[in-house]
Amino acid sequence: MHEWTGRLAGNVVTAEPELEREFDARLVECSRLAFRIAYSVLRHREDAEDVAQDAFAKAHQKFRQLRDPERFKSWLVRTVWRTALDRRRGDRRRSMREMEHERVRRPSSTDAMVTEERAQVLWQAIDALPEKLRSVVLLATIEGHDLASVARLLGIPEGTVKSRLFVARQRIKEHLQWLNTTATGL
Amino acid sequence: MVEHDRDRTLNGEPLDREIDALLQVEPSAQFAARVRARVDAQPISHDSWLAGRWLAVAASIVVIVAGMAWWFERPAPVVVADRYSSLPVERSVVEPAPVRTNAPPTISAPRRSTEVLVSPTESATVERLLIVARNARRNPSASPAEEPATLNPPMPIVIEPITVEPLMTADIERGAQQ
Repeated sequence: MHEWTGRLAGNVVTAEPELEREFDARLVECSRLAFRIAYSVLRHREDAEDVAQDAFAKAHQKFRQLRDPERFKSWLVRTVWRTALDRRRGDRRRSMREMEHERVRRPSSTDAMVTEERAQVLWQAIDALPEKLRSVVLLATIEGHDLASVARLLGIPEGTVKSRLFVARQRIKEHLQWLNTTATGL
Repeated sequence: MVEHDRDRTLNGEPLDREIDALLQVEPSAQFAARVRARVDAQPISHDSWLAGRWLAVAASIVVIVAGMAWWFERPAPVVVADRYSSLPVERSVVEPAPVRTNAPPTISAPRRSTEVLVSPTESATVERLLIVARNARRNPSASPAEEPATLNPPMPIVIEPITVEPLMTADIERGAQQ
């Protein structure tokens, strides 16, 4: 028994630097993914960074169970998404105020204003989607439209990703058309 | 501008490109360093998975030791021999030991057979009687002299009539006074 526990403890100690190296590699590899997911929900750079950092800190604590790269990535995506949604629900009022502040301090050239307005409309259309469709659209965009990767990250079949993406695009288009029609009517 | 926007949204690819443009954001250059600092600032947590495994092993050992202790310390089963049995093979009654009580085991009362004391002369007489009865059953005409040849006619039963005399008035009054 003592020999066995001693051997196990020795393995854990010798495995630590290797684990740290692996974690650093994942950190470099997945930083952008985590940050963009958080940003897509929060629309605020500092908050998005904070949420992504939180998720990485949690991942470090559980890294022994998350050594498999695919497992790590899907866990990170789910954690960042959930944490960001929680934070957005928690201080929606603050986010709105800061978004307004960011909008006000942007350059006021005509092109920039048009682009900003268009971006806001698009975000509005994406926000109007149900969560299942929204996550697929955003992840597909972040992952460079690699549907197999999105399916793995969300743990759903690729066909489901495809159909959800189709429905989501249709709804965004409809939303944008409705907004255009309303603007024309005005 | 509105018409231009409408054309852009009708096609799938421009829409994808627009969403791509929305998400073209990068984390700050210090992002990885901040994560590293946050990780280093965390208290050294024991790996929960490893801790859980050790806990499970320890709990199993405790359960096994407790089970063995209970098994060896329980009272042994009590064997009560039936000393009144006359069968050649000795029969025994095994009573299960009480499980959770420390009370002494209860021994069930032995079955008692009735003892009959017969003197040898009486026993011989009974045996002779049985032999005679057996032979008489085999040969019903063994003692025909004991049986009567003819039955006597039944005696007539005489029933005397019952007469009841009327009560006197003086007797009634005397009885009432008493």
